[in-house]
Amino acid sequence: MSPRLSLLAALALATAGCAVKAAKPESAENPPVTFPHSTHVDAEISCSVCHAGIEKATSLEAGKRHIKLPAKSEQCEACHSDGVPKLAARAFEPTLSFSHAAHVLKAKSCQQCHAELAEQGMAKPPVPAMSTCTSCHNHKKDYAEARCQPCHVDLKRFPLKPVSDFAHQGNFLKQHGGMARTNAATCAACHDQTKCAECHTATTNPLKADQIWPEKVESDFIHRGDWISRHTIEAAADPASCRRCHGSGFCQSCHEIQNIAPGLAAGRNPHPAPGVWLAQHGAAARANIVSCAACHDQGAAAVCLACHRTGGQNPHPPGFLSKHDEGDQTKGVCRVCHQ
Amino acid sequence: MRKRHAIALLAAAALVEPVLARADVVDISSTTFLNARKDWRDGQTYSLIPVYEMLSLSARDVKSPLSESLELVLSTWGAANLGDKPWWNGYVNSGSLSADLNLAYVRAGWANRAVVLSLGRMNVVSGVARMVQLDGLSLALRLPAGFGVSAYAGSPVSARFSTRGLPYDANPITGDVAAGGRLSWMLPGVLDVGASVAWVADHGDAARQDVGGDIRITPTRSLAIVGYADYSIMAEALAEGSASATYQISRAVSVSADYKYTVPALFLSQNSILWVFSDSTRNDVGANVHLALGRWAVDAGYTELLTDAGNGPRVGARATWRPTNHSSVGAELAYLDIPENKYVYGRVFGSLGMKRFTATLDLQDYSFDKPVNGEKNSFLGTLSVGYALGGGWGAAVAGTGGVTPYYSQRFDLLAKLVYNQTYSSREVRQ
Repeated sequence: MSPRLSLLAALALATAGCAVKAAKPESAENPPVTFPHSTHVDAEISCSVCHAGIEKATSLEAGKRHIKLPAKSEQCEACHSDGVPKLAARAFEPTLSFSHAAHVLKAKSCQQCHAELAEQGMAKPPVPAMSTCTSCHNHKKDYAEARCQPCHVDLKRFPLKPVSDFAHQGNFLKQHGGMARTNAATCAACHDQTKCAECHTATTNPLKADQIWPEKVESDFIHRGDWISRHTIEAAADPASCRRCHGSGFCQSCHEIQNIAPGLAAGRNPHPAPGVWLAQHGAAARANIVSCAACHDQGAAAVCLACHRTGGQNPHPPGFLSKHDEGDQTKGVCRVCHQ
Repeated sequence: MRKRHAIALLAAAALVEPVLARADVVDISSTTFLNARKDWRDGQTYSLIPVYEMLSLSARDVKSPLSESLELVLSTWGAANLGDKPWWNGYVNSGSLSADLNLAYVRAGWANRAVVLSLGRMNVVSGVARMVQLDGLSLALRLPAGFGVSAYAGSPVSARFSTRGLPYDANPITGDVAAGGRLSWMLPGVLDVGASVAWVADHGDAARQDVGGDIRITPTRSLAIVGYADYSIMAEALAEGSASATYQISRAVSVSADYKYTVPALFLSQNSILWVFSDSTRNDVGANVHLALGRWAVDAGYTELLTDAGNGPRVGARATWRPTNHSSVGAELAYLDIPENKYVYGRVFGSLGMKRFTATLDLQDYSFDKPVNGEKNSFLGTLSVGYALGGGWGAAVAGTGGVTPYYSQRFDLLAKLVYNQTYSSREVRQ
């Protein structure tokens, strides 16, 4: 099968897979809240008048608000002489696993958790903060181990804006690697690896992130804009940083097409004049060998070995031999010169 | 090569279909875009018109008798170039078609996710793994008393399934076999400490043999101290070390200080002949501050780069104002001064959302101290307009123009169609 056919077949199969599962309609835009809780609280109408049965609800269910308005009530008719207005339906999905039945009788009042209530004009009803839960429940271990389920149904689908030690603010771009290294499970609670892959699959990814998402002007893309013009400066400033994502082949594939790689006919030489470079190259290599690797990392075929095999000038840095004695010469990299 | 490519793509697609049908939640993201641009190559420009399809799938809570939590993640792309002389980033390839897999793994969990097994193409980040992109498996165990063990083994990913290992590999972890693991201990909410090992072999030669340690201390919820060390057994030297402290003074203010030590030669594969030529070291010491003042966010940072060739500062600051939830205006300034060159960078950007429309503007300018390709300035401007079509569909066009050291005039055009949707088997509406 040709690559063209295989690609088409793969995409067709993937698309068919999507079609197998009937698409649910997107939740309709909910209208603003119309019910004024404060008016009813001020009138000292008990929550249970409208939320009858909430004390038996063992879970939050999609679209179920546990509102049961009384058919006829003196309390209601005192204000609603024309009858109690109907409430518009609201679409929502539960983002938490929560049993009102397990909490209602233990709480001093509904307001203990529901400190802020929905009011007219609000885009959506406010939900209690997580600190409300942790004021009674000690989730220190779950929190540290990033075991957010089963309380949070699915943080990947219903993401929260993280606060305190999970906040992605400040110099998060620089810090996130260290945090992920010690506890990748914490990251995985909210992100699957497709998020990491936007930047961290440099071996297979075809483009810089800002070429795919030019509209994400607030994102911290490290190669944003005219990266080609400044890449040599950035590589000199932090060569190890390049090598976290890019192997020598990545650099070389581009340098070859730019005709600045070694061994190419009529190649462009990026170095100073040969006589000058001969005197300078040792210090330059010592200072930033990663820069050399961008073109000269061909193993035993590297141009360096034309002069620096045993018997030529010792290319090793001072102190190298004190760490690597003759016993080391069984290693493959040593055998290239020390046979 | 072609046959391998075809088999891999078909296997990935065949894997996706049955799993999607049994998943509770499926996130799909598809981006189809056309990118018309000029490529500068060896003094000439070529007109490229590649069309890309990038597809991401994440299927969670897949019903399976084998595991209590099963997940499938796929990230892949395919492209065709309709213009001149195609070339695909990071790979020596001049064909008009190209495609690759970024991720394709299945993850299964047991015992309330105390045991998690992943199989396929994935990234491994823990300990000294250095975010290796791997075809293989990883296992994570959460043990009693705060202990944990994770391990991985496989083959470092190669671009377009070409030959693994050898110096031509675009993967920084150059080798055909890689393995490693991390042993950790956690005192919940206070301490997370780990010891790890990474081993890579390339055609029988050791390419990496590192051990390391990492620690994260959170004496209070507002203070986090992170440390890390990576020791190369082959070089008998510390390859990398870092420490940082972040203090969240309030919701509005956080400060951080960091230190990093690297030996760049030890980031090369250690079956490369080059790492034995250098032992130069780098030290970075820096501090950052973040302010969130109502609709303003300000970040500023200073890092002193200390190298064997000389020292220099890297300074940066950014201020962003969000007048509404759908609009922002920002400005950024940066300065880098190292012995090789220095630059001043300025950027202004903004986005404006109006109902279904979103427009963004991004202007960037670099002023170099020493000429780059004979020029001392680089200017690029990007304007984009997006429209939310509804049902998870969106469309956008973007144009980038400017004058850079490699382009006396540059204009790129991008047009894309995006589909982002979550499918759920749970009821949505009463």
